[in-house]
Amino acid sequence: MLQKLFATYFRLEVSNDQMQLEENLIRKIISGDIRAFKDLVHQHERLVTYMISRIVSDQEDIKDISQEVFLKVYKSIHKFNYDSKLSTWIATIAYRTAINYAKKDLSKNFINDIEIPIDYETPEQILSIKNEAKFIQEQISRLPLSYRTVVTLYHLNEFSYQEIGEITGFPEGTIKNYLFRARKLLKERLEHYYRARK
Amino acid sequence: MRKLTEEDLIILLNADSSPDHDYEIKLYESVYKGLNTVPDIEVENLVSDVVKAIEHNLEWQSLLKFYAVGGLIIFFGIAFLVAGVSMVDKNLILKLALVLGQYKLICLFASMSFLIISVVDKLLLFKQVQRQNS
Repeated sequence: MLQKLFATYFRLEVSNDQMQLEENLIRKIISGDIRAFKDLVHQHERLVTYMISRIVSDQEDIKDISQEVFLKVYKSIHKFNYDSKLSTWIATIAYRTAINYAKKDLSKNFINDIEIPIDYETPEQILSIKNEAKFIQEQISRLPLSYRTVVTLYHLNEFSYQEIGEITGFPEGTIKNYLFRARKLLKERLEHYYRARK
Repeated sequence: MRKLTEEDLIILLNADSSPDHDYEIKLYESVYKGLNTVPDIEVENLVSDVVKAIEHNLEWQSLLKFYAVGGLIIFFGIAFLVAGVSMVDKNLILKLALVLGQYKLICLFASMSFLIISVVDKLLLFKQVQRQNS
């Protein structure tokens, strides 16, 4: 019990410190400090690029969207009202920008948001993928868009259900469902991969 | 994931061998490992490109501000001049309006060319800076 209380207190202290740092950084950026903005880009570069790369596949597009996201962040940082974490706010901008971009360019980026029945590759195709990790990565990119987004935010960016809800606008139940279905789909495909290799 | 059956529990309690739900666990472990693997993606020079884009943006903003302030100063300057002169001689203002009306095309052309030249000049400057940076 005491241990739990201490852990909660410690977590609150850390988040307070983090908020303080974020506030200072934002204040500096608003006052026109470009170096402070560089720090912000450094801190959130991975969050933005990972997120975009799961929605859009082209390397050049990822670069363009990442730039656009940080430009939007710079232009509207004065509107940030500290209701959420700065990373959640930036991820929301990244998510919306990437989705809009992908919707505009449907021919270039394959956007699927429905659970397609598993079209298993032929044994020859499966045998050509020697690496299990590579197979899983490939299967992740074939998941429906909503699953991919939720899975990236949860596993790579380590956001909570509530934060993912803020970013994507999905209810908490839907997020849990998407996570469950995505993992199950991947497990089934991996099972098939193992069977084909045997 | 499959739940442990009573039989599995008995096996576990007797510490004989692990029940066969290991395979499912292993599959999920691989899935989790795959999901937690950082994608092989890196955007080169993102920070410097973003900063360049912001500077570019700021320069355009300052140029627009310059034109807006300049335009306001010219507008109010002329308004004060017209008001001042009209207090002394109204005919002079009428004559000025007549001249401006007569040469309106020349005036419009002069102001438009000033605007275009300054915008083109700024664009060329940006391109030159970009070329130097690359």
